[in-house]
Amino acid sequence: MISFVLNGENVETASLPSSRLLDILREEFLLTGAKEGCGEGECGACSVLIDGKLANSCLIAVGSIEGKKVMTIEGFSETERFRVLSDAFAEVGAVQCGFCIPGMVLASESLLSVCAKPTEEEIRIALSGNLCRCTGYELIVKAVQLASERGAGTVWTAGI
Amino acid sequence: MRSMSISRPVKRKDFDEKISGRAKFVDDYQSPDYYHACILRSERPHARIVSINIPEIPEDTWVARGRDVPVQNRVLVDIPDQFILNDVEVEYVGEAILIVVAKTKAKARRFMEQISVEYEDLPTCFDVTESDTILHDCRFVKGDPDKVFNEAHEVFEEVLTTGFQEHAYLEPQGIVAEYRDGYMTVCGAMQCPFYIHNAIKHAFGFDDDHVRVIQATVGGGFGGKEDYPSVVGLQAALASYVSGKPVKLVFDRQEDIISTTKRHAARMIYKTALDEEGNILAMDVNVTLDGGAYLGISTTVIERSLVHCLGPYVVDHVRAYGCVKKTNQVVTGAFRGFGDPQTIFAVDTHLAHIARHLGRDHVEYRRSYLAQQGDRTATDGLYRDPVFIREMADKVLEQSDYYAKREAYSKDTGRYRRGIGIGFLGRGCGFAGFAERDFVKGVVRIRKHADDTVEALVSSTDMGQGIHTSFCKVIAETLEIPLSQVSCPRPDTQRVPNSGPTNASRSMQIVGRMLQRAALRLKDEWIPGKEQVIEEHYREERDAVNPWNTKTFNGDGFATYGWSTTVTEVELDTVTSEVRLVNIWGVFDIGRIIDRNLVEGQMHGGLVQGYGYASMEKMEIENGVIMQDRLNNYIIPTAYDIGGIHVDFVDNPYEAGPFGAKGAAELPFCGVASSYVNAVENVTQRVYLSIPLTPEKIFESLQEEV
Ligand code: FES
Ligand code: FES
Repeated sequence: MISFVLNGENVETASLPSSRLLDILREEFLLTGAKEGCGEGECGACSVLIDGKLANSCLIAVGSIEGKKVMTIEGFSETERFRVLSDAFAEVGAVQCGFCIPGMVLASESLLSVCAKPTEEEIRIALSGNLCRCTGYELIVKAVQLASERGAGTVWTAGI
Repeated sequence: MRSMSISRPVKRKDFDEKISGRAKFVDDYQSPDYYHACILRSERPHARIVSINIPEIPEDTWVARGRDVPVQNRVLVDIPDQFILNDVEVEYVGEAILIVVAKTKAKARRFMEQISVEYEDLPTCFDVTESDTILHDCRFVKGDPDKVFNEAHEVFEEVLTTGFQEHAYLEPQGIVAEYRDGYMTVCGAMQCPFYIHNAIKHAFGFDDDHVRVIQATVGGGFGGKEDYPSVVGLQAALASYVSGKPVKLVFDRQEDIISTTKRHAARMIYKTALDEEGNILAMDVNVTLDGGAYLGISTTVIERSLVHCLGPYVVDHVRAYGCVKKTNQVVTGAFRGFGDPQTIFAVDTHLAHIARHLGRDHVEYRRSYLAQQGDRTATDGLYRDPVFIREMADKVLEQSDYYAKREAYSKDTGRYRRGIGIGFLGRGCGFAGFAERDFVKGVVRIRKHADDTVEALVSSTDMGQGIHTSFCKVIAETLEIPLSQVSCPRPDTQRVPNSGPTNASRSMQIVGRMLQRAALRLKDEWIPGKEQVIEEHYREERDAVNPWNTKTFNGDGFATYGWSTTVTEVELDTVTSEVRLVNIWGVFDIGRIIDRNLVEGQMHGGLVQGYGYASMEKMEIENGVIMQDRLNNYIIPTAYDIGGIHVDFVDNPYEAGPFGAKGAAELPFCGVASSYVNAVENVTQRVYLSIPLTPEKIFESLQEEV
């Protein structure tokens, strides 16, 4: 048995330690917010937060997360920080097909949680592991800027 | 200004489910009842299949073959040429041979790996210039090019080429199919539900009522989910038909790249007759598209390439010939722009090169040939609506500070040197000629429920572009009711009429217009608290000035045209030859904007996809094998590759579009390549004839003397 914390709850899985975390999340826990876009760490559609850090769950063996905290978009979408990001994404129109979007939101959170007031370049670097084929990134970058303007000092406090 | 309020952005209808990860894409549909399919694919570019050795099939596992298709083992989109499964003579690496169905994907794959195929190799062709199989060709003549070429002072000739391009939608292709009690239901990633509906009827012999096609949330399409999902849909349907189980068929990325359609690589010969002063007298254009192993839908693609061979420019005498040739490579198909990004790149670049050859300013030279209202198109149609491309050129030159930068950058001498370039484009909106009237014959329905909520029933799909939200806006605005009262469900062929495919930037202009007319009628007939259904059919709203002739390619190719101009600012690292996109500006004429946010999103996405096409998206096929078959070697732009994007619009309402809207989504893509190449040329002072213009090509060019 491998136990870890999933979206704030203690859980266990009997799957092989070598199973991909992405498959366990999607198939065993029915959390399909993390997507498979490439299966090899290139696209970021499968992003989750592990102990607060952005990770591609398609490259993570479930055996390696024993005792760790895994946050998926389903868990994150219950938080106040998500609401600030979501409002900003809505306002600027940053969502198109939506396939990359859960990963983009988690990548944004992982940046803002360590750097509440990033520069545009820092945002672009932080999002560069998450591919989007629809938006040209422009409005996603704007959304993160807007979220930062609104949430820095309140929901995100690091580095201010 | 009621009509302008339509442009004010709203929160898209599917926003909440998408941002929270709740939206269900095809792979997110899960059921303990599902079985999974794997496809055995050809490893040879052209071979006769001598034998297939299948070990004893275990319990709860099935193998589906082409011969299991009840009526015809072919994929009907335009013509039924490709096989659903081909175990006789394979024509490209990646062609589907058979399907294995098992309880899990891993089990299906394990069994598939035990199957061996014995091939007898047959002659191959990988190069259009060597191919002698013309799958389709077409031509037209305007004016008297023969005479003008004979009398020309000079003929300037170039051969321009463009590469294959992968759609790289983030969500790979997939369909779930279930055959039960004589009914076939398929659900998944698709742009055109009725294409699949039709293809299943054709292959299986079912009637309309026994086939049901439902669109799942789609993770990007760009044309890649226009024609190819008919293949995936038929394969999934066959897997379910043979096994009697609900079957999920979802590709992984590599399978998606090696087997699905690409943008056509093109080879274009442009010959231009000039007089003593350097004026353009006539053009001769010869376009060859690489069709891959089957024609598929390429007939319409080459026609579109050809009718756009002059781009936004006006030339009185034209001779144009285009063909699609067969090679033993992956099949090429629909991709944003549909054949015109190739010729628009070529003609715009060619004109800039003529200017350079004559020692003239390339901006002014090109500008002087830009179309104006009342001018004639390449096919002798009329630009009947106002054309603002010259004003748009002024606007983009000013916004980008073009001339000052060009002057300043010409003095750059360090390792990093900047350059700025411009491109122009005009292209037809929607389908050519009378296709809407004679072939598509679109129908829409609006249903008002007893609680006075209103539903738009159309087959148009939202694949991210936001069309369902835009449709709701058109209806709400027309009925003067709150947007929250209007919805537009994902199409289910059992519930929606066939309003045509989702392609050619036709959805808002054509389907949106029908919805607007339906809403106007509903407004007149509105009875509170009563269930009402209004149906509208396509009709031509204005007579063609010079009616399109499909045989001679003469006349009004399109109802109206979209226009844009793009300025690209780049920085070249002269040591590594890497280029950075510093800024990109686009000014667009898409009629009137239906939702500023959605439209800006389309423009940004199209510009960046066009930048990828122009610069980094290299796809090489060696002996039929795609070299860049993953997202770690097929490189698309990331957030860090893009500098600032600046978009602006001219308001030019189209009289036959809803609130003045016309085609939009393909436009931004089509104009980047010539602008980008122009920018790099302005840094290096070299001439480039081919895209993608990669660092390797720039490096090579820098080794040569100017
Ligand atoms: S699926 Fe994990 S990075 Fe693409
Ligand atoms: S919104 Fe479609 S991939 Fe990003």
